[in-house]
Amino acid sequence: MMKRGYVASLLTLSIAAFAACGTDEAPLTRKPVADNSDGGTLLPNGIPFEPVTADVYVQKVKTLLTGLAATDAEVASVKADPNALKGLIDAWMTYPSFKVRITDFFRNAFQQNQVNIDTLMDNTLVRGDLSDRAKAQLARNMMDSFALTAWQVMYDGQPFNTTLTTRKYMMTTAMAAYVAYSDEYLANDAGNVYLRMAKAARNPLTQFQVNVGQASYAYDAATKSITFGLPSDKRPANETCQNQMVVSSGTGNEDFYRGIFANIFGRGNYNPCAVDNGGGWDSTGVYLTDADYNDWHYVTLDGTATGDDATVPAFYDLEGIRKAKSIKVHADRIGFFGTPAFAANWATNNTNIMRVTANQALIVAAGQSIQGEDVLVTFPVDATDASHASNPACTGCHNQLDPYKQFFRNSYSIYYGAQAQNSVEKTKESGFAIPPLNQKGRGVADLANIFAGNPRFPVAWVAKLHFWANSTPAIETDPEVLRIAQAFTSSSFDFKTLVRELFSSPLITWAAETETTKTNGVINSIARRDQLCASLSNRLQLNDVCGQLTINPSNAQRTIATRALMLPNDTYFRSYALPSLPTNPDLFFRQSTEAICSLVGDQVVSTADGAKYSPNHPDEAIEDFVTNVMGLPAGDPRYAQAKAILSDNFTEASTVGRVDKLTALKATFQLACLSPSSVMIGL
Amino acid sequence: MDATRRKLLLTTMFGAGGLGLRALATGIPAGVLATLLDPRTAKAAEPAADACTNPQYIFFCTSDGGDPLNANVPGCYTGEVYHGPRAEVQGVSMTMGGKQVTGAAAWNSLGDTILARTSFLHHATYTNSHGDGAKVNRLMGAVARQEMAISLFAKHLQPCFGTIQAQPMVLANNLITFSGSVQPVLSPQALAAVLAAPASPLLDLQKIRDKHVDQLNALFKQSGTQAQRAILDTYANSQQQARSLSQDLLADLGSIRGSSRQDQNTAAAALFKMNVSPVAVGRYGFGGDNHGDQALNGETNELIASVAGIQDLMTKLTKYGLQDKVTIAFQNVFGRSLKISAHENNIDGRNHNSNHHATVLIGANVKSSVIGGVKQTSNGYDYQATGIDSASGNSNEAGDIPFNDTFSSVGKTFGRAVGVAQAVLDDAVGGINQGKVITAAVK
Repeated sequence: MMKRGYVASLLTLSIAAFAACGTDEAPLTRKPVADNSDGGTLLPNGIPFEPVTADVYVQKVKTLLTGLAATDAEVASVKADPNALKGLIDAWMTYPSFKVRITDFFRNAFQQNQVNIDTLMDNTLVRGDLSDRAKAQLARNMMDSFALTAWQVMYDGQPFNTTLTTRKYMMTTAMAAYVAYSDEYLANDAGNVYLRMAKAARNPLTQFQVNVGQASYAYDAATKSITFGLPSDKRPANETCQNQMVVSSGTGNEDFYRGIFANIFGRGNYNPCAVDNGGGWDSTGVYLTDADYNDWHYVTLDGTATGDDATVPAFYDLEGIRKAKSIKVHADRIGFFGTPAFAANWATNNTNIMRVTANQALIVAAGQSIQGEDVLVTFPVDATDASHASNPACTGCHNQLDPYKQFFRNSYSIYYGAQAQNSVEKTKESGFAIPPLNQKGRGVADLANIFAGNPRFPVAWVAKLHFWANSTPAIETDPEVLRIAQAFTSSSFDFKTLVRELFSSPLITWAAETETTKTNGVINSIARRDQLCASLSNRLQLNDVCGQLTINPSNAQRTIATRALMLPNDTYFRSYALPSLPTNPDLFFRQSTEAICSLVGDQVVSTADGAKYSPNHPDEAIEDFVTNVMGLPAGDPRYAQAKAILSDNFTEASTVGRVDKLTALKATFQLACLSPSSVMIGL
Repeated sequence: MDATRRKLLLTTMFGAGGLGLRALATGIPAGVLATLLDPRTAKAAEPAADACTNPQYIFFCTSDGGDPLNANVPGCYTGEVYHGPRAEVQGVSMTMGGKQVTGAAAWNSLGDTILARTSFLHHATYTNSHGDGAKVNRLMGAVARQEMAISLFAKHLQPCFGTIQAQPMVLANNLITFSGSVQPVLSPQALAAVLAAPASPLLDLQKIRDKHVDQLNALFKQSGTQAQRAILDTYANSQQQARSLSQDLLADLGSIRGSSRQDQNTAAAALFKMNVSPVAVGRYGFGGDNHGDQALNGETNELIASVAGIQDLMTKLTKYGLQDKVTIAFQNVFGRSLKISAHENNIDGRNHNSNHHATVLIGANVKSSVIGGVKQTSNGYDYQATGIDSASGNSNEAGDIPFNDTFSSVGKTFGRAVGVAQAVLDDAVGGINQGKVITAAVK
């Protein structure tokens, strides 16, 4: 019998020889590999390939790309001509729902998720207070910023490797103000930190004052002062807090500017009204409004400021920040690895010295990972460390990683701000000797160009998108993978071309066998959190039903979000070239989906005017449950039986369950919502 | 739809007899259906002989942070091994298995009852990379078929307890795989929200809905591929699992507020009591990736907090009568440097150490002991684990467990301590391919 089983993805094989410090194991691929000791017994995930019909794969592709159910006409057109799928994909890529789905992918693929503002400030040695709500809003902005940048690159038809070299980022006013503030901090490798603007030589403001009354904000450049109008209902109850407070900058002090920052970001906190004194006030939404967290626009971070130059516009010049198309900053912010979100994800320290940063950037840009990045050695390897000196694999790791990470050291301190002017790290030569490249340079700008020209870029992104869609790795030498990578390259890295070619390919449709499916088999997957929430939102015209993306989620969104926390989600881990994509419907998935489907049913089934589903029209509702929620249009061979089951459910709920029609229809909605085709991909 | 036609369609689907067809018709996998209909037929779920001798649930705490878990355990108060200045990490005399040893005062504060069932096992993990967390959980390749040791144990313990699922419940941010599948992280807070579902009239309709979900499963299986049928079976299983949950303990989950050690303890204890899975995976900090740690304060603070966490867990387990049924284990990706010169002669932190780590086991089948120990590396750079004599547990370079087998041997010992049969552990095809049980550490 032919030996089958998961074969390690070739994503990382090009560096396998030196990727596994201290062991001769193959690099971890996040998927089971065939074990040679058991005669090739199949591991459970690798299920032999069988082709599926257009009824199945058109739904799969449209669901993955938009969260929406395919219509009868769409399925029929592909049945008549399989090439019609490409045209449908082009059309689906114009839908707003596609933007939601692909930016979900971008957030993870560029490792911009999992942002916490406290962690970011800790990682970057930026000091300042924000209200909890402002933190949540700002974190959401930062997670979305680069995903929207990538979206805009794609939408504008720019080569997708622009994402590696861009200095233009989609930002909101609030995020831009934070970036301008944090850029004023200089933290060197030793952890010595100061706020540039607070130095006596700069000290650009003389005072700020807080006047209790009406909400207002005024920055007066002539008098170098700021006036906060604090609404009366925000005034702290503490009797020591007066109706007017004037604070002088003196000869310059950090606390003064931190006070302004805190006010702007919702946490008024200054003596004698400091939180420590029982005072403090929540000014969230007063000076930076909700609109300031939603006004996405391009901002270039130009990286031209040097020394203790001012960051321009200043963070407190809110009108200037709102209008700014460019901010003069000190650090060379470039590509996906120049973002606050990337810094928030990957803390480094004085012995790791940006190895983790370098390795994660390599994973994103080229789908490669060097393991063993966290070992303190002097380059070339110091023979006093016996475990390293005796291990050629470790030597290889550090010969690769240490000169490579120096690109980041040239530009950034280990706190992700600009590298100090007098740092010896700034001028050391860096080297990217990771196959298939061997190039030298200095700084992140050089590195970005190396990334952009890496021959691995197209195949790495085919593999990433494939993994997102199928939860299984593609084989890089698969002729179909290579064909798509070539098409992507030929289109000048047009991301829409990549999507069109890949999602119409048997790699995704499973309409025919490929080298990948022949070797690795296939698995069907649950709809993970992002997918399930997007499908429910888009199919039912509910705005972000799980509250995953909303700046200020409603109570209903928060309630569902809590339940959705138990749904497996797309994520990534340190050092792993492939993301983590759970696929099994386990107990907790079941509990979560049952709870979510029940809560969503309460929203869409109602007797109120304008309700999406009314118990007065159960047949219409059940028809939509089958075609839209379950994704089985009338032409699907399973349509009639599915509709019969739902109809029986409605009848039995009313008669046997003895509930009213409204409750019965909610129960039937929950059934449709829990249908295998609603909560899993590719059925 | 016309009622007659609907009836015909449903009769066509569900009118067949026989277990296989009934499985198809109900959407429930044949194995599960067989168990439900007649437990005597559930051969596949029966444990192998010798598989259920004093089986243990496992609360397994692991981390890819490379915490200094190894630095303050008994056996590391020797030679040039450095410690923080605070009293809690000063060496004190402890009684372990009738022997006097020296360990951190914080560990000693666990108390005689817990120490009487605690073993500190010195070994190496042979890596100093954070990214090797998953490999370490596979005992660096010693577990057959790329399985994680904890998942191997879970598979064999599941039939002993008849838990709802075999897959470990991951309660903190760790990458755990089971038969190759990544296990989702279940935050204790979210667990509480989801499992303690609010009352709803829809709950009263659950049986009706379950029947119809089964019918939908069957519908999709009819024309499904092998891969589709596989996930549909798993989905049907999840429904059976959900209905098996005890409601009595859900209230306890309501006290969970976050993901602290105490919250993880609450979740793990309640889920063990509900018999959900034989394994819960948590994450206790012991100082984290403490390259820079002023006067080792972080290390000291977290050791104290983790010892308190262990005591809290024991209290919660005792409340449920599980104190003798759960083994607690701490095992991380690697240990940290023990000699100050290996950290640039700076007491403010520790570097990575691929050559030494300490696993801590606490359970009813565990003998109070300190297994193995440390010695300086041949070039004097740092400390490493020694070889072990399995019968006495003593450090012994000429012992029957050489340095290179210490990790796999600790893995096998862990397995034995939680009741996994020796034959399973030694199975060349499905067990641990290296090392031997350290009998000095298990009863």
